[in-house]
Amino acid sequence: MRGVPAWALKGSAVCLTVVATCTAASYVGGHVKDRAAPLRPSLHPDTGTVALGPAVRGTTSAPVTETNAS
Amino acid sequence: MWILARVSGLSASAALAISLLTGLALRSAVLDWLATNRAVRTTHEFTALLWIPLGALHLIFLLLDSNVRNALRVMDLVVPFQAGFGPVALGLGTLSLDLFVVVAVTGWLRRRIHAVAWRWIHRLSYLACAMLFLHALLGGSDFSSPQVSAITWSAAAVLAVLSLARVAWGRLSAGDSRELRR
Repeated sequence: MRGVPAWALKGSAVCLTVVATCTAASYVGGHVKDRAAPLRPSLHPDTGTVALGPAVRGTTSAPVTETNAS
Repeated sequence: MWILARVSGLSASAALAISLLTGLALRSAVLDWLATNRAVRTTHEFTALLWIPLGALHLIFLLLDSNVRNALRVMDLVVPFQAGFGPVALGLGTLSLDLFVVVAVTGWLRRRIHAVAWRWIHRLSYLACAMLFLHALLGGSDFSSPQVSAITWSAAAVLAVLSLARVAWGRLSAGDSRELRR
C-alpha cells in the first residue's frame, strides 16, 4: 500500500476537490429552491447594514430576497 | 454570484485542507503507510493548482456580486479590516490571503531563498489556515448548517491535532511509524 504513486495521489486530490465542489454546489443550490433560506447576506433590522455570520440568521427578520420577491 | 462565491469558498477550503494535510504529512509521517515522502511532496506542490484558482474565483465572485460590490473594494482584498461590512470576518480572510500569497510565492522561489528563512515563512501557512477558519466561522453564510459545520469542524480538528503533534513531537522516524502501526 505504501507505494501509491504520485499521480494517483494527485488524482485523488482532484477527485476530492471535485466532490467537495459538487457537494457544495448541491447544498448551496438547494437554497435557491428553498425560499426561506437566505441567498444574500442578511440586513441588520435596526441599522439596515449588511451583517454576516450565523449569529444574524437566528432573528425573525425575513431574508432580503424574500422581501424583494414580495 | 453570491451562490458561486459560497461554492468556490467551500471548495477552496476543501482543497486547502488537502494541501495542509499533505504538507503536515511530509513532516509528521502521517501518510507514511500510504505513499513515499516524495510522492506526498509532489502532491502537496500540486494542490496549489487546486486551491489558488478556487480561492481566486471566490474573490472574483464576491467582487462581482451586486450586494457585496458596494461595500467591498479591490483594496479590501489586500488591506485587512477596512471593508464596509463584517470588517473583522473579512479582515481575517484578507490577512490570510496576504499570508497565503507570501507562502505561495516563496514556495515557487524556494531554491532562491535561504532554507531557514523559507521554512519560517512556510510555517506562516498554519497561522493563515487558522485565520481562514475564523474567517469562515465568523463570515461564512453556511456555518449555521449542521452538515457544513460538522464537516468543517471535523476537518479543522484533525488538522489541528496533526499540527499540534507536529509541533510537539516533530517528524516520526520510519521505525516509530512502523511501531505505531503494530
